[in-house]
Amino acid sequence: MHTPDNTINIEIFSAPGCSKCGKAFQLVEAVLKEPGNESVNLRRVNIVDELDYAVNLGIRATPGIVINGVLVFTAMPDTKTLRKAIQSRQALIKQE
Amino acid sequence: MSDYRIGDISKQLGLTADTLRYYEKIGLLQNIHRTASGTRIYNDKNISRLKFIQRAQKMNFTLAEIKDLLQMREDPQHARAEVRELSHRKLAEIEIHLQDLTTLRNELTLLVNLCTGSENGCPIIEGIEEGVKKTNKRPRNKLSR
Repeated sequence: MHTPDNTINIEIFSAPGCSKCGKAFQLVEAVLKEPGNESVNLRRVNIVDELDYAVNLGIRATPGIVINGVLVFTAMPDTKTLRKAIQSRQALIKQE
Repeated sequence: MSDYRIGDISKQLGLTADTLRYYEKIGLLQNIHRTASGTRIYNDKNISRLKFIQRAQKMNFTLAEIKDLLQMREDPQHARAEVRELSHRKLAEIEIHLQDLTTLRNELTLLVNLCTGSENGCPIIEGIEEGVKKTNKRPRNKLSR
């Protein structure tokens, strides 16, 4: 699922007291600053505020990283894995 | 197949002797064997039937509905059309209930995991409670009075 203008949406699901969530957010932010990622949107979702949405996406722990409506990481990924996940979605969009 | 007295069944299933006698009276239990002295003797099939009744009651089915469903359970091929229809309806209710339970389980799993992962108690529960307090503090509109 992606927006009509072919942007990629990344959502980081965090919760109060989650120490790894901030680090996950920083990691994603850093990767998004890299060239080629200009059309990737990032949103931080507080599970307390959007519990139903989180549960429906399959979030069972934090941090959870969702790319274009699909739960891709159930724990903090390393930079290389995250970069690869974004690139594979960008490649898919180009193919379409 | 083992034989059980009313006290055994009562202990095993947590049903009172009065309840068991009542079930027999209204036809939920049939053909309960009796000894020469009149003591009721239950068998494994009766226990299976009673467990079905208990499960159905947990789903808030009425005793009349359960009685019909037991007919279906006893002889599915020859069940009346209305009993088959009732079974379909109840199955649909169970599916919805199951979906609700699954969602609730997933929600609680998430909350428990968040609490486990946090060093300071359970901030997510506190966060939700804060949200509830805020909602309750909102001024009532005229319609809600």
